[in-house]
Amino acid sequence: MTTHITDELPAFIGTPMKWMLAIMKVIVTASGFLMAFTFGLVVIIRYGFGGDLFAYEEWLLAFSIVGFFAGAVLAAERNLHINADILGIIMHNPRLIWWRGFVVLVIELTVTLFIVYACYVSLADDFSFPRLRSTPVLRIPFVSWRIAIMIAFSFIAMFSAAYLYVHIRKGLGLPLKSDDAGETAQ
Amino acid sequence: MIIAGSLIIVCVMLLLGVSVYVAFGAVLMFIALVGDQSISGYLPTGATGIRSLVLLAIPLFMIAGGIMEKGKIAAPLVALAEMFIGHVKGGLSAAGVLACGVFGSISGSANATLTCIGGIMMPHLKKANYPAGQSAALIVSASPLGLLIPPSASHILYGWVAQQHVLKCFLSTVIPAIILITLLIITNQIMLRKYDDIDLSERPKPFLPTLGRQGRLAGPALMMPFIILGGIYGGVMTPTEAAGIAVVYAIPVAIYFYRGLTWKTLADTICSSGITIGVVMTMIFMVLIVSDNLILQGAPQLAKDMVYSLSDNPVVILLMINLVMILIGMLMDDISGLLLSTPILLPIAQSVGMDPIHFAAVIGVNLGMANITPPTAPLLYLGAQVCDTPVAKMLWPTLVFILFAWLPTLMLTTFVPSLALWLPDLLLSR
Repeated sequence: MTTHITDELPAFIGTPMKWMLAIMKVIVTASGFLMAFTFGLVVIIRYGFGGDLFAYEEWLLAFSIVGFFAGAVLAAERNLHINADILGIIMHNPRLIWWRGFVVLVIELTVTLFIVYACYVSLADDFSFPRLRSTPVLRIPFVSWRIAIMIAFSFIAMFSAAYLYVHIRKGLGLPLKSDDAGETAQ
Repeated sequence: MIIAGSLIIVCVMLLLGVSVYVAFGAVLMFIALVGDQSISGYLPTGATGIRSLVLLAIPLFMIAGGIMEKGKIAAPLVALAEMFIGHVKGGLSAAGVLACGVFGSISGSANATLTCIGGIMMPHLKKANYPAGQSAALIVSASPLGLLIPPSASHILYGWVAQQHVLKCFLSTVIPAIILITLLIITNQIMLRKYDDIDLSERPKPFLPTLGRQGRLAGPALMMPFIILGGIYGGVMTPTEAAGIAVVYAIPVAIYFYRGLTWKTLADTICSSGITIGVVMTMIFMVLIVSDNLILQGAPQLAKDMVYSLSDNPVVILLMINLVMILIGMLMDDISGLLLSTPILLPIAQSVGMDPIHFAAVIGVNLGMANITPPTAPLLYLGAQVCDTPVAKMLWPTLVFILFAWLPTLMLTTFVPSLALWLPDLLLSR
């Protein structure tokens, strides 16, 4: 059985994070289908019926951006964000490897929290105006997907923190739930 | 100071192993601390940047590639290529290169091409006593053909960043891709001379009925590039609409014709493509903000001054541009590399008379090569897993392919502009 990072966390944090991941999965899958079928429909309606899907780009882009960042959250949970593992090739000392991992995770958490803060400052700026900026036809407020981006980075920061928590536990030699699962399997 | 500091931070972060998007986030943090710009502009810059219909083509092509990858469409393509040249020495590996080219034109992704073609070709190549390291290195070296043969995600991005005609960008790398295929096959043939124990397959008999059967099997897969490219170049669809149609077409083909997917696994496939899209779009989001800030700080002019302080000879300048792009490509993936290098290097290239469409070809070949050039070389490590061959065995042959196939292609593309410009000029009047 595959152990997820959420399994390693105390249940009161891990369980809500699992629910959130399930929601993200639905959003990612739905936005993928929606993007494809909308563009398919656009072509069919244009050449089949000589019509036009009215202002579709406004709602589709908004939903797609939410889908992109939901995918980024899932990638953070699975530790799939791209990195260049050059030191990993030349480092063999376990102590050094641990410290390098610790530094990387601290940087990732700090920077992601900074991005969340930058998003918050920007949103506060948006809300300080009497009228929110919105799309020209359907009047979808720009803040709708900007809030989604901030929420996504907040979740990414949570997963960075989760990986840091597990890394520190490993470094201190404290037991992990995946160790227990491995022993049970043996 | 801000520009130098930003470059140092990106390099240190990437060397340390921090995720690419975080490395760019660290630069933003540095700019916020040292510079005098407000951080409230970061989110609108990134969000406005990715809110683009043109950019939506990238995730859609990724979904189509994911469906084709899981939909078992590569096997009939390989079998078809094998039928023609599998019976001559080196033919099987040449079939692998051709299959990479064809599959690349369908998926537009180097990773998907390597996973599919490598997974299918390697057992055949090993069974026929082809040297494992060399064969795996060949498939790895051919997998970036997906970035050169249209439709290509990196060209959509380049056209968008550089405000160029995406269709012309697509066409600019077609001839370089053909040159690369030829050079890869020739280099491989020369390297195979010392191996005498390679088993050659029989030419299928009767040839034409077998060809017809294989053609029917491969037909729906081969139709895909025709639908996409025919739709785009026929003026029927935009690249984004073509990408949407590609997904809509790929779904029934993968489920009902090749039977590689079910509706349940299709949802999983779209979700896993969505995760890759999330990774790519987060990088694009961050790089757009960094690039915008660096442009505001005058990075393009500074880079130009630095280059011209070393030499004003166009040949030397073009070589320097290539060197910088190779270094960037060795440190990061093709999408981030392209987003970062285009606004800074394109003005320098234009100052020595290079056409932006020509630059699209140079950047495409360059970043393709960087993907397989150690030390980072993401495709090399993926290739080791897919082909079940140690990296150490693949390293030397990969370097040979880089030296005798990729580098000559890059130099030809850089210094013979007509290789990149002839086809766009012919098919799309300038």
